[in-house]
Amino acid sequence: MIQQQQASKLRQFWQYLLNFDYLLILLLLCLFVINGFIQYSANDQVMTRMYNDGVYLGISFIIMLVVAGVHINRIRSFALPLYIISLILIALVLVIGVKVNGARRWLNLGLRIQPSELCKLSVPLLVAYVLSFKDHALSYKDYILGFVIIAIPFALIAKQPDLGTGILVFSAGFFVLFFAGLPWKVMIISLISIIASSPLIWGLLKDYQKHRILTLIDPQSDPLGKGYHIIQGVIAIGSGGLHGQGYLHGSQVHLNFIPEKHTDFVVTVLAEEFGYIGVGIILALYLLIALRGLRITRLAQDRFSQTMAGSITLSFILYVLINMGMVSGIFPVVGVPLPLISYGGTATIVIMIGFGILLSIDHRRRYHPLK
Amino acid sequence: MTKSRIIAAYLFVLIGIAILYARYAYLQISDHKELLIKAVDNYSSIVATQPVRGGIIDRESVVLADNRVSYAVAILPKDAKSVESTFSQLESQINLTGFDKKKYYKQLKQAKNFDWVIIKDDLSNTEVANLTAHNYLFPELNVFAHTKRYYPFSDLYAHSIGYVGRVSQKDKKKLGLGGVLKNYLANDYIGKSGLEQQYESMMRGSIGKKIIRTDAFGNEVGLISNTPAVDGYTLQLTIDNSLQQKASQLLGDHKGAIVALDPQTGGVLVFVSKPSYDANLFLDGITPNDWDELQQDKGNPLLNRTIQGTYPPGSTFKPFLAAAALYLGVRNANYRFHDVGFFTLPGSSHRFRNSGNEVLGTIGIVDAVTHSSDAFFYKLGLDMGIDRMDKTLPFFGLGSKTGIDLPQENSGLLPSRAWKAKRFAKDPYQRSWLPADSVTMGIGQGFNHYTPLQMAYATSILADDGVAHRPHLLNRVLNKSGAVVSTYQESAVKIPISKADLDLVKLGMQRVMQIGTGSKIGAGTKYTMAGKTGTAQVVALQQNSRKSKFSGSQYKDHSWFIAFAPVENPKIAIAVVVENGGWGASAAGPIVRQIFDSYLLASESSVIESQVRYKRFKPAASSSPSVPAVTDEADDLSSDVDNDDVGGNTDDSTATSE
Repeated sequence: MIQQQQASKLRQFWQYLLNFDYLLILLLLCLFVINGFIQYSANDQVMTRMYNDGVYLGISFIIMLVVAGVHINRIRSFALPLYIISLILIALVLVIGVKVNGARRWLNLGLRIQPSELCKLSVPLLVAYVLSFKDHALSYKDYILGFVIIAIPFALIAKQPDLGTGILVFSAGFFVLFFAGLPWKVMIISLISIIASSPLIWGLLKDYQKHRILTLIDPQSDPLGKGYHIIQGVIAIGSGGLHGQGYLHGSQVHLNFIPEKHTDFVVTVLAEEFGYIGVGIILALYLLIALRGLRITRLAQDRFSQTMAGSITLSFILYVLINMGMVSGIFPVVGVPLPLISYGGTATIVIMIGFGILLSIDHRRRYHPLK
Repeated sequence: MTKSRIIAAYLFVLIGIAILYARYAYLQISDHKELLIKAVDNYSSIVATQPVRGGIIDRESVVLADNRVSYAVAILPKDAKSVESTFSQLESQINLTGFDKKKYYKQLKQAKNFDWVIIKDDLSNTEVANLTAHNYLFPELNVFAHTKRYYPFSDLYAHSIGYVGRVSQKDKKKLGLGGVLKNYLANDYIGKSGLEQQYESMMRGSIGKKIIRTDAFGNEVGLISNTPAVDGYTLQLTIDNSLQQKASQLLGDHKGAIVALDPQTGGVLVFVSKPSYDANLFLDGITPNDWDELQQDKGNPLLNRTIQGTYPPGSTFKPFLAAAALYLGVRNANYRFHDVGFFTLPGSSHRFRNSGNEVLGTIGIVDAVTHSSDAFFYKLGLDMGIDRMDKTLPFFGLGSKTGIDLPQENSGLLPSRAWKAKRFAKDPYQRSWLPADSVTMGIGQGFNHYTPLQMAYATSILADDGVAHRPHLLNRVLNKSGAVVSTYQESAVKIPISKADLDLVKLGMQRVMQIGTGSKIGAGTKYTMAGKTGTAQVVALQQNSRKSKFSGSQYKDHSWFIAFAPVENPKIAIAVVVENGGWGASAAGPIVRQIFDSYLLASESSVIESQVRYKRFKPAASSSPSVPAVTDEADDLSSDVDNDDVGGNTDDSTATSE
């Protein structure tokens, strides 16, 4: 009897383990392997410089597994405290933050962290949490509440100033509202009014104000050599051609023509050394991961899970679009790393927590399907 | 959740990724070539490496134009901004003059990215030590050794070898036309005058091209390709350095010129023009002080008297006129003339007098040369007439360029009716050629003017029985290992005058040295010698008088002497002119005798002495198997006249003051 019980418990645990989305985990591990190769080249083959990257990748992977093992309802219950903590931290940044290149973005707590990264998770979590209580159709009041939850951290982050991260935080929250059913007409009307008014507003601004807004988007871009980064990035990508110049042989990258080659401009290393084939492979990986995420979204069993899974997936793909679009010169320079390929940091951990949540959502559906 | 949201999300992902695929395909496939070129441009820089300029050596391999090592401090144009602020600091380490700074800024303007711009050249040992010790103060500066032209004999060859200087805008234009501009850097040296200009292409060599890899900060990180520089060829001249030195000493502080040729080859043995200047001064741009000094020197040291100074030949003209007269039959060996000490034109009372009012009595053409009978040649001038002189005197190269391998040769002046009509176009009384013009021309006065080189050339033609060997300074072209790359293509043309006629003239000239006007000079020679004295009048003398109101030394006559020896097998032919030297026999003659003695009677010991005393050309040990062929023709550049650096006045009037 006891043996039977033990055997059934073991079988149960085996069942538990079997119900994770291992394909998604495998895809993520592929990115990790690519990260290792690309970072080795981007760090000029100096192993010691890759130490932090490895640590972040390792820790973030473990955190993802831990989060994946937590029941989604438990995760849901963290929403409000996590949001409050993030608000406190970003408020602290404005007061005691470390100023780098004219922007206060970091908190020095022994380890230098960027609290705005945390908001990329805590904001959609709280929006999804708030909307999850309503079983039936949501009213405008719910959407307005959602917008308020998004607006507070957005305003604080924009004030750092870090409009780039602010927009990403905003879109993470917005994706939740989108999947929750924010009416198309509201989105279309607000989109049209923003687009329509933007040239008018831009026209009314004075030069120094325009400049201020441009620096808001990215204060780190060199005001003297405007466009230098982009020009060099485009040259690096183009010089790779179809096959690339060969691993460790990218001239643009290794002769320091590319700034921040291991962080925001890391895709130039890939593009220059592995060519369009390398770029094609990594885009395919991102696409597969996104399709996996959307599958989880589609199959999710409650509103919280659906909206969260959708937001995490779309945010992930948005980072890819913004980063690779920026480096190849179709978007303005915004400080967004390439997910899981750029040198490891807070962003890596936040992204992997997101995937942990996705795995948890998926696991709940498979393991405890609702009747 | 509505289905439309999921579909919208799928579309967002698919369209977004598709845009990236398209964008990267555009950059990496359709724009690949263009962007790859930009990437290569980014990291590759071309650095030129300098060839070593070929040297110039004399017939005994004594080095006449050399390359020496010079230490310079230089900066790359990209760092030039920072050095301006450290100039004052730099001044505490090295002696930096305003002229240095001016040169630096001038160079900086022309320099390309990877051309080192020299702040100061020719650093002293102390300055090099100072800069090396304080290296940390000026990390952007580079102290380096480079080779530089050096003329060990300073002013001795300024008028034959010439000098090199920095490439000017004018040079660039010429180099561009010749298609060789790419062989020069912005601040390179180029031959500016003399042989340095004439044989520029042979001595220059070709520039090396090193393509280096640089990083974004302009630091060199590797080598992409390297085409090494090819050093220039060494020129071996026909000049005899010890004889050249001797000739220069003999002329001393006199203004004048000495040209000696080998009559059997046309090779130049001596080529002296005085006063001269230090050719080393022009290397990096002459300093304003030195330039003013040269400009204000009344002796006009920049004038190359050997090929640009023209003088009336005086009596040295007589042998050539005699030869021409014999050729035409205007005179023959049996002709006799009664010299009464003067000559008058028919229907005129004007007496063209013999110098010193000497009366020679009945003489033949040989005696007329020997004793320099003016009366004889006055009449001969008249009998020949200008037209016949114009037909025959060019046999001796008079009135045209000899074709020596030097730029800016003057063609002298053999007058003609046409010339006079043009020259005096505004003056109806002077316009036509008068019999008196032919008379004065008979004794080498009047309108005709020749360069010392022309007179030496004419003498050498006479000496070699009427074979004209074009004068030349270059003997052969050697490569680094001393192998002969090419030899000067000599040209020899037989003139139409017969040996018998020339022998009469030569006999007259030989007797000049024995019993004639040059007998003192020719006394006691161990070899046979033929010569002719000459005196070129500087101011017209008054009738019936040798005294004149012009008594200062600047009005003294120019002293000429032409000669060759040994008569039966001539080894040397010479023309000497000493400005304001007075009688040809008194100033120019003794110089010739001493040059002949030392050349023809040279002892072994004196040759050895000169070999020990001076640096000689040493072929490199390494053999260079394949040597690209060079043409024997002189560089095209040489034909152009370049006066932008030297105020050399080629106008006839400067040296001749008649």
